[in-house]
Amino acid sequence: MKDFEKLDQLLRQAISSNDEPDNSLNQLIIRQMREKNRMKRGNRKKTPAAIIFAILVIVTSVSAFAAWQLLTPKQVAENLGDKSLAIAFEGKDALAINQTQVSGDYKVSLLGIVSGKELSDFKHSAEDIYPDRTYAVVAIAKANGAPMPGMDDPEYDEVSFLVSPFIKGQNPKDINIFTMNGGYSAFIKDGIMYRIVECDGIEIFADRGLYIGVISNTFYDINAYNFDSETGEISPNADYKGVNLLFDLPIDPSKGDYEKAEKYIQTLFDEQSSGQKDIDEGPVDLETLLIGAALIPESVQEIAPDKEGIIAYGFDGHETRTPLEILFDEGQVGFSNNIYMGGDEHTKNIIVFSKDADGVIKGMTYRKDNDDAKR
Amino acid sequence: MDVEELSHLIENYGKDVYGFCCKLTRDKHQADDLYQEAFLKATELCHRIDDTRNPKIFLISIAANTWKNQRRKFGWRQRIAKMVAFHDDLDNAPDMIDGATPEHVALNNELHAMLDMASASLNDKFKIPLYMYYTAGLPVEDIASALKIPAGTVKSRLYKARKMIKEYMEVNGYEGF
Repeated sequence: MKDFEKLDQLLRQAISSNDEPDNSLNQLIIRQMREKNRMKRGNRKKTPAAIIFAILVIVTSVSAFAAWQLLTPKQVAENLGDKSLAIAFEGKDALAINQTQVSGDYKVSLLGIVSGKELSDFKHSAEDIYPDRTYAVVAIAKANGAPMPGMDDPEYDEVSFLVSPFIKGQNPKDINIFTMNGGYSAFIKDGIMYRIVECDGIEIFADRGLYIGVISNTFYDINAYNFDSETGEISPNADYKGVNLLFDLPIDPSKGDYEKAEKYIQTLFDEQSSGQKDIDEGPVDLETLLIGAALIPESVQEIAPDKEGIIAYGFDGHETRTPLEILFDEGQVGFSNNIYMGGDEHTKNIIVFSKDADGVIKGMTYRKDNDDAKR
Repeated sequence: MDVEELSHLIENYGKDVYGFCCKLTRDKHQADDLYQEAFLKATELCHRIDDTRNPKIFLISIAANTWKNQRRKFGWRQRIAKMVAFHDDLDNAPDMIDGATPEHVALNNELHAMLDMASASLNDKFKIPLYMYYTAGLPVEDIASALKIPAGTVKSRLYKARKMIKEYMEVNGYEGF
């Protein structure tokens, strides 16, 4: 335990932080809170009108009942401190949708959508390349009326949701919120989760057909929707266990721009293939590192993780014990995410792990001259 | 919560919360965003801050939860960025074992950088309680309360985190233990 006491002391020194927030950052927080307080006061004043409206609609339509109690897209944007976007949701280009669908245990409402340039106070880095952005607002509630877990609740995000635009004719696994430079902001109010999702502008696809999909998963799940490659239709998979809703977006088809859209799709595919290339090139970096290094044949060992998931490898007095989860992601094959280097002033030892498709893990040591030490 | 109360929170706990955000994100812009979000969420949930609960625990736990959610949200992009880890020169510090040299201070800094790197390489399960303990200075009981897990689990995660860091240090040539 003596070692750990020393380490404890070292950690206290090493990972304490001297960073301090800028005064401007603190002022920004205070300013945003002031704005929120002002907005809340404004909402309270409007309550009587909302109640009267509610009494009128409650006898006419259940789905309208759902709509009145939700915030408007403008209010959702204001709640997230985005004044410009709040204004945009009231502009002539905004589309109020207010459709509600129920899937499984959840009730999801697509409230509205707006597209255009420089609509938000918070610029996305992709705007430098694709200035047009689309913002959609959804509300997610539990179908049984129970409140969604608050953001400080440990159950918050236990069930994650992915809200994504899809394009008719394009496989949703390829063109979705992730590939379209997407992101979202969310908050919970009165037990309802509100989200603004944003991505590159989708109006250019209006002539093809557009959807907003909502699935109960962090990432796109290929089982959630069926894609008919002949007709280009996307439809929810009835056998999917979880939320897999699909809203048709009633965007004016005349806003579509076929050629621009084609060019955009091609760019996305190019980016994806170059991204994949970057991943594939990971081991190349390792190869660079191994230039001039020789694998020590007797160092190669087949290793199985112990019951705690620890990979223990030792060779020539150098030992390492590393959790398997740090070395490899689930399903990962090839070289490990982490490598280890050590040695002395003359030689450098590089410990590498590999995993093959059968799950066999090997540890091995490469050795080369320590040029860094000589410099 | 009014502006005065918020200013009071920022003044008293801002540095600790910000330090925690910096360690978690390791990026100034992301740290700024996380810090800002933590305080703004705290203002929405102000009824949870009362005399019986330390506001610092509350703020740090909001930052930790927000970070975990953001990690899930942006996991796809992080996967792509992961390979960059190979380039880190801090992984290669075989000379720092000779602490008692004229370059002691520089080497000490390097040692700290190596420890920092080792802690950053842990996954969130270990990293978050570790930073809560060493960076934010929260006691084990408060970490347990913030993460809503038993104190014994916090102790066990801290133990495992230290163990992994020790192994990382040793394999990278540190012989000071």
